[in-house]
Amino acid sequence: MCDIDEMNLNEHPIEEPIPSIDPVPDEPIPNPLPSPEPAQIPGPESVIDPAIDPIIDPTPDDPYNPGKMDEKESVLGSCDCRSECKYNTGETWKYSNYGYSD
Amino acid sequence: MHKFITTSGKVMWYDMRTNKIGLWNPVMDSQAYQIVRFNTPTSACVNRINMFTVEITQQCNLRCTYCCYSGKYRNRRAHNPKEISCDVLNDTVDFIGKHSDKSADEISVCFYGGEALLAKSKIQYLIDRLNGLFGTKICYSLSTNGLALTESIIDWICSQNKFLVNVTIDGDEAMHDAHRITVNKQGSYKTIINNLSLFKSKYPQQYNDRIRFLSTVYSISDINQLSDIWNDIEVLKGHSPVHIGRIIPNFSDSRRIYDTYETKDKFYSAAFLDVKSRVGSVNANCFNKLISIAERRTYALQPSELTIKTCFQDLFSCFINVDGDLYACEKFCDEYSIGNVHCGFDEKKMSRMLDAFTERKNKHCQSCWAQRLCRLCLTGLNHSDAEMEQMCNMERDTIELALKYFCDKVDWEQTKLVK
Repeated sequence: MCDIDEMNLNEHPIEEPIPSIDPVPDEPIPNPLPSPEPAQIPGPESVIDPAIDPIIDPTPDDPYNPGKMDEKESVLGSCDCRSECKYNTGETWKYSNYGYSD
Repeated sequence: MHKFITTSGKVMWYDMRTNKIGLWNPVMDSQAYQIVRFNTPTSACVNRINMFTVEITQQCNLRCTYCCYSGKYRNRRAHNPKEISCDVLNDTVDFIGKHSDKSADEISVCFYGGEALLAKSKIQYLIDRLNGLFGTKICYSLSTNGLALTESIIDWICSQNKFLVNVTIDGDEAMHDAHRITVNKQGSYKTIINNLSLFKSKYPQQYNDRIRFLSTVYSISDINQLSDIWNDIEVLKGHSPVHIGRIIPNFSDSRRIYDTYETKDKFYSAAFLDVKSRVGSVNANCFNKLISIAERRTYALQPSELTIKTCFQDLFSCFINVDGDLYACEKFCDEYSIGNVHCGFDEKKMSRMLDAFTERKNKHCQSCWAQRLCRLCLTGLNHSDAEMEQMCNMERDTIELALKYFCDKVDWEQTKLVK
């Protein structure tokens, strides 16, 4: 088992905390998973201060970074494992891979 | 942040924070790595399901050596004669009625096994009940090995509305019969090809419209052979597999060998040649699928704290086994059911799974350069932490190859523009 304390965190420098952002207090987790009404899906933008970390649009002539922010970003944000699953996005061009990389 | 090199030797840089690719320079090596803290999602939606996969039977007329139900895989069932009961079927109908997406144009129901055709009467019963509920707003598909596609079954299939058939063919006779054998350890290929030939000759249009092929290979390098022979087989010609899957990992089997970075690189290098030659091959499709990982990036800045999202947050599909137990999909091991059709979803179980998944992400993914492109999902709970490390290494290899070949293709296209 990989224990976080055993990881050599000094192997990779840790980003310094941004002083002007107040730490978000721990909130008690509400009673689990309500049903039957669909709940609001929380967005990924928990702790970003736009003044410090503006979202950078790609330049139109950057061939390595084409495209623009997808309106689905707010729903399927970073680290969203649904984004790759054909079953759970309904996009049949994606593929379910048994959690197993090609 | 991750440094990688293209085929032409160009040193590139992928920045996880921005999700962008650029030319590397030495200053980048001193950039701080971002640590991302993952939070557990605290909500779920289970009333917009569009696709239901129903396990009709756990019996099968084949004993494919790589089958996840062969008994060789940890925490997965083995073949047995159990069929879905009428009680479970009736509760399944009610469950689908309750949890299907009311705004969807169409609901999809897939019949699964074992070999679902061994319980055809149960399939017909379910179709009749669901048609009564949904009218024309429902479509069906069937996963089959093709062995039971007799003429009467073919006639029955073609009498159904909106009914697709997924048939697994692993290549030519030698490739297919290497693994897909009957209970008596005989090859299945000849019978299946004969069945498909009958289907095609009797219902040519419906054959084109309804039949989809799936293939399973052991190694990515096997796809070359699959691609070479596919169009030489009359009933398969022009009907490429819609999906080529790899045999699922089995870390309990010490004899298993997994594709290395070099094996995958060699395959994609050759596949890129097909793309450049505009050859519409199976290999070219695989290449395009690989680079889509890099193509569909979006560029919002990665926050330092992020609530993860999983399939539970807006469940699109649901797998129902013969006992009526619910799973987000059929890829989850037996212990990860999230309810049953009689009592509904088990919110506490779902919450525990999300907690375990978040804990694992915080253990493995916080500083991983590939976290924004990673395709490993909640089914990773099937594996131990040590096994996940292997899965992660394999996934990072694939993502680096996606970045590399994406850049190769961009450079090639730029070269063509200049000319």
